Amino acid sequence: MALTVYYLDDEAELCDVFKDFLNSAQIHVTTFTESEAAIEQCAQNKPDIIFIDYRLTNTTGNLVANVLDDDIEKILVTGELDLPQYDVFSQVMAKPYSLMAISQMLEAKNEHTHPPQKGEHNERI
Amino acid sequence: MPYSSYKRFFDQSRDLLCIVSLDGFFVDVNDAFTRVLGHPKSSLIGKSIRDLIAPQDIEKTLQEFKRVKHGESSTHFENRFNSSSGEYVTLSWSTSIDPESGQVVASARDVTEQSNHARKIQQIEAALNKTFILAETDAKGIITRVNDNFCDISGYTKGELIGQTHRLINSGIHPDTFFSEMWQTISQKKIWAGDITNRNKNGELYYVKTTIAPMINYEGDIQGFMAIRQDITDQIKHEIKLAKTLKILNETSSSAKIGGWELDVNSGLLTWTDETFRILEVEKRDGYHPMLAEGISLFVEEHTQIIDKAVTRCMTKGEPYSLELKAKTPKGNQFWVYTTGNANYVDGEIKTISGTIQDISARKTAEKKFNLEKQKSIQTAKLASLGELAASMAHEINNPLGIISGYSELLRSRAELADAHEKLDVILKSCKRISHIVNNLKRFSREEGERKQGPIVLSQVIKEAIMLTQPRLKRAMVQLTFESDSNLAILGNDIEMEQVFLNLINNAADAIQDLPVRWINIELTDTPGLIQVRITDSGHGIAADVAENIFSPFYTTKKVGEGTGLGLSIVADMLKDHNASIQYDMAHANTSFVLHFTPYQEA
Repeated sequence: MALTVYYLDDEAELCDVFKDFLNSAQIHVTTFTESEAAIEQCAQNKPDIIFIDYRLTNTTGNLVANVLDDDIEKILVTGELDLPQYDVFSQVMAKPYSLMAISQMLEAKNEHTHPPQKGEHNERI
Repeated sequence: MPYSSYKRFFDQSRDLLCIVSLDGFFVDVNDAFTRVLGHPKSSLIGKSIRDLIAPQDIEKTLQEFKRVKHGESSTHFENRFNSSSGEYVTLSWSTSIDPESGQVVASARDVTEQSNHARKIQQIEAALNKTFILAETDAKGIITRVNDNFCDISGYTKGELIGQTHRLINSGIHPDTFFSEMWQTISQKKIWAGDITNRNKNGELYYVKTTIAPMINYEGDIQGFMAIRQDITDQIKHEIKLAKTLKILNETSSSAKIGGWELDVNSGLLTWTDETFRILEVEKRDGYHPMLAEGISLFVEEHTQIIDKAVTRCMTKGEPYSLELKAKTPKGNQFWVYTTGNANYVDGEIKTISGTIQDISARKTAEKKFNLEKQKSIQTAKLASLGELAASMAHEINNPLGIISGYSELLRSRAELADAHEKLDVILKSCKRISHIVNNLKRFSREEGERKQGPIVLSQVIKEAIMLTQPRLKRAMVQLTFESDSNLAILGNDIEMEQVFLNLINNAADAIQDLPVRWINIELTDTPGLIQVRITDSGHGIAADVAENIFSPFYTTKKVGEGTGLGLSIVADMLKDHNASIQYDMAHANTSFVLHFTPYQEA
């Protein structure tokens, strides 16, 4: 099974590069530049993990995270120097982050959440 | 006795003899008369005596002559006769009428010398009486005579004093030995001199400079004593007041650490107060006056020219000065002093210059501390602003930086772009550096959490710093050499360490940009327990006064707008964080900095 990953950031280019780098057969990445769209999608199709930018167009990442289901793992990404600490997030990542590091983290999580069945193997597209 | 015998007696007499008619004309004079007065006998016979008498003495002589004419004899009458040399000769006369001839016979003695002497003594005594306090005693010390000055100063009348001893005015201040020694001296017929404190009738003290001389008779015995005294009360009171003032001044000077000095322009001799000796740590010896050159040598070498010039201008042109200089004492101590100098004129000429010297080391230390605190405070404020700015800008920088690094990572992951991997790594590293710099700026505003630390291969960090500065060095035509295959590491933050070398290389490049020969050399040497990095450029070194401050925050020699002065202070600060140090090598012919690191040893 693939890991469902959402990425919410008002910077479209960051969304693009996030998806370009991480989207694969094992990791399904969907990106959002609008918080409302992300919240709606989370309600309809719950992701395994969501990356939320802190400073969004009309709101902040912590407010978005607060309305999402508790069982969705939430990671805050931010370009701010003073990284905010909120219990709702499992971790906080500073921009610019390493996509390779995120990739490794997600792969590890996927293996943990969806252990590979016989004959399956990781493949990046 | 025959006439001839009388005549011989007349002529041979050493006294002046003459015979004068009742109307006052010379009838005869003897040889002594003509010899003493110098007039020839022929010119005197028949001449009126009036013509030879001093005009002031004529009247009294005529009166005396009148008495003699009336049959009275005259003895010890003195008047003055004009001699042939034009000078008056004082004569003492014995005169009478010869009843047989009816003429006046007179004998006289030349008493000019005695008369002058007596007059002189009279004048001296009058002067002494007027100026001094005089007293005479008998051999037992009983007062027999005092003058008015004695009465005035003692407050006693002559009647109260005469018959008493000097115990009457004894102040009780002098010990008994004082007077016994005095008596011992004068009893040996010697003159005693000294200062005595007496007490007047009102009980007030007065001071007299006294000379006591024994009066000796023909037999050589002491007949009595004469005391000549001079009132020095005002002088003593002035001295007491002056001593008190000096004491206060000395205490004040000592408290304020201010010394005084005076230079005799002609002799070059210096006179110092006790405090000046103390400040300059020069041993004070009796009668010791240092020479000007010695005084000037008590300043550090770089300040001797300044003080020498100032003193010379003060001596020659009267220009006053006030300087803050560093003194160097014979004990080898160095400290700051404030010294002043002013010319003193006598009859329009500069005779001396005088001034003060003050130990201001405490003030200098306080000033230095204050300036450092002030600089730190300014720096903190500036850096805090910078940190705040960085914080507000960080989001705007980090987002696009994330895009750049993200796409670089994306491209780096493409195998078909293998030939661009190296360049993409540089982009990624630069992104990391930008992010780190932004984070570091924030670090200035407040302490952040733990920095990432790890083993850093120093030679690698230096090479990376060189790589980043290479384009700039190329433009400035600076030749940089660094060769090292050392794998020695230190424990620290690679980005900060790279900033250290970036700063040092950039500083060196700035310093030599206008020189005809421009090179930078970096050497890395390692010895057990120590890694040394020496960064040398083609500059000709840094002046000592500048070198003292180069690691201070905001100290810069660059033009306004070209440097913040933070470079070397930050370098020093960062190195300190890495348990490393930086020193400027004064001894090197070129500009050279030496960095020392402790090698990292894996546990």
